[in-house]
Amino acid sequence: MPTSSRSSEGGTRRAAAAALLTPGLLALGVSFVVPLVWLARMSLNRTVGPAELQPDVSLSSYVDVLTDGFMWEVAWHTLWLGVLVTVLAVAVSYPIALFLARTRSRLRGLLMALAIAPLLTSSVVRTFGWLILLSDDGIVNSALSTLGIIGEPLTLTNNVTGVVIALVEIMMPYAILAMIAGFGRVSKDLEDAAGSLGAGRLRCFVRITFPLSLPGVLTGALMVFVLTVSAFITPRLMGGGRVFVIATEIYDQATTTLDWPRASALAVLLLLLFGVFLVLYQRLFRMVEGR
Amino acid sequence: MEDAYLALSKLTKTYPNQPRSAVHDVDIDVARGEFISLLGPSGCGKTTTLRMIAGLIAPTSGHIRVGGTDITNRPVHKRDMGLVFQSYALFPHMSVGENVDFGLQMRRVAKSERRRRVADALDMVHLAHLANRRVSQLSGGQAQRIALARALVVEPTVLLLDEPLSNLDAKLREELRVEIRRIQQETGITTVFVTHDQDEALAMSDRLVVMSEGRVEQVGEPWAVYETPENRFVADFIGRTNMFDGRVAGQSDGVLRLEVDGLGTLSVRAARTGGATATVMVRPHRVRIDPAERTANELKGRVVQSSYLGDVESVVIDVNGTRVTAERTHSGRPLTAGATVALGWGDADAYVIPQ
Ligand SMILES: Nc1ncnc2c1ncn2[C@@H]1O[C@H](COP(=O)(O)OP(=O)(O)OP(=O)(O)O)[C@@H](O)[C@H]1O
Ligand SMILES: [Mg+2]
Repeated sequence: MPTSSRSSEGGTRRAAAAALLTPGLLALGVSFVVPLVWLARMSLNRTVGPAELQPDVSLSSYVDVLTDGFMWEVAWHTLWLGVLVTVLAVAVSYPIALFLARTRSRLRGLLMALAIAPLLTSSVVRTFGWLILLSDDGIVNSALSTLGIIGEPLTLTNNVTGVVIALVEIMMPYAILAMIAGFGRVSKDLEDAAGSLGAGRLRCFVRITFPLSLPGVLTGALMVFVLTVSAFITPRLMGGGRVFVIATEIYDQATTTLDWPRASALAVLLLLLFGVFLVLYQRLFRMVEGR
Repeated sequence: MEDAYLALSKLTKTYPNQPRSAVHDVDIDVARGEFISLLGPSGCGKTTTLRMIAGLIAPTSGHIRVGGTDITNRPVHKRDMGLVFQSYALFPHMSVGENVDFGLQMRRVAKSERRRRVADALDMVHLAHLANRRVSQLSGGQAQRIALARALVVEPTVLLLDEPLSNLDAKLREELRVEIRRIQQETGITTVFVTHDQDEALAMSDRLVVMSEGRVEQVGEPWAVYETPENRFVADFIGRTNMFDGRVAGQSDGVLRLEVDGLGTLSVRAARTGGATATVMVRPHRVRIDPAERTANELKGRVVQSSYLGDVESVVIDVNGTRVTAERTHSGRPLTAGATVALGWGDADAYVIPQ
């Protein structure tokens, strides 16, 4: 009797779960899986001329991409930008996230909203904002030259510097959110215990708080890295066409060169790169979470 | 107290934006090697007091002294106090051994000595075999033993425990209660133990501090607090009790006669003189049902409710509209509601509450 009632209960629960999951899975399937399959299929076609493709099952686009020196340079550049922005964004966001995760202030909700408020504007708008701030006659340069700190305006736009500055700021809300979510093990009791055992503030941070916050740092880093490496608008606008990353390259191949198989092959390769980082992340996460 | 080792004087804490202070003018003296319990209802300021001693909360006013030295403004990591939490607070990213080792590392103790002391501390709580375990693989009882070892391995001046047994089941709680007391007596460490479980406090402590709403209501040995509570709050909070308010009708030969509505005139041994009214208290187990011999206070009543608890039977009896609770230990059938019974107690079984 108990077993039969339990299994029928489990059955209804499973049915309910399936019913609840179906809309989401359908949406994901239509908006994500189908295009992805289509993309993978496209990457196997062959380009015979501009905008002219021949249905095929060939790896020629991959061979083209992987034997192209410029592509390797772009890939390297993308990776390097991703790592740099990740390190900077996580470093700048860490104290903010730690503060927000631990404060018991009544203003916590408000501060939290402020920290993630930038997400309310699109990254296009924010990039334009940075363009205005950082351009040769922008606020930053005119302030610096008025103060006599610089003679010539600094080149902060149309180059990698501008891209990095804008991307770091754009990524901060994501980094903060992801880190707060990952700070679950940071606890006041543990810090108090360390204090009572003789650890001053610095040693308490180094030995207790920081190690316990690592899962959050990793999650934040993965989030920023993935978003940075796939970022298109900011490198395009802030870089003024002089900063090449995989995302801008895919765009150019797809819209300018009209080599769709090549663009698709690049997209698939980028996806593989994400896969590699996801595995790396899981390894590291298990390491910092586990012991 | 002359020989106070840990002395709190006029200790007060008012949290920001709070109208009332959480702890108010608390004076407690703890002798060296003494085990003292802070006992009181939820929110009475036990944790606040303990954390002020530990240095985790800054007092609004007042002083804390250890061995004659004022440490009121000393930061937590320089106080040298062992702290044990209800939540165990073991470091999850370290092994059991590393947890116990942490305080020694902070004190820059030499490695060989550290190894020896960690082993000794784990031996003390009988968990030497768990040194390499991960903290997440410990049971609650084991975790709290490790937390105790971690706090004691550095040989702190004072051991502070905040409801260390509250997360454990009843059987384990009793076991660990005995264990903590044993270790405390072996090491002779001055201990402040916070609990809202009075059985725990009565069983473990040299002295109790009963608190209510941020104030100390009574300090004394467990039996003294139980037998001679200084006020209504303590009488009511420690153990079960019957309390009757009455008018003083006379006093002779150390016996006070008190008029109580419904119960008539009660006599109780008391040195008290003066005052037109008084409150008398009788513990339920002192009230005898159908007493075989004559008693100083004899009443008749109707059983309202009887709860059979195995070792005792708790009976609520209505005496002319006043309820009296009695407990009897016996073998046999419990009383049924509606039955008429005689009850009584001697004049030495009752006690006049001073305030
Ligand atoms: N950080 C704080 N800010 C404001 N008020 C506080 C704070 N911490 C505690 N209080 C208040 O101070 C009073 C005493 O709290 P405390 O934690 O010392 O009680 P307690 O005796 O330990 O209670 P419990 O048995 O529930 O643990 C309570 O009224 C509580 O609401
Ligand atoms: Mg408490």
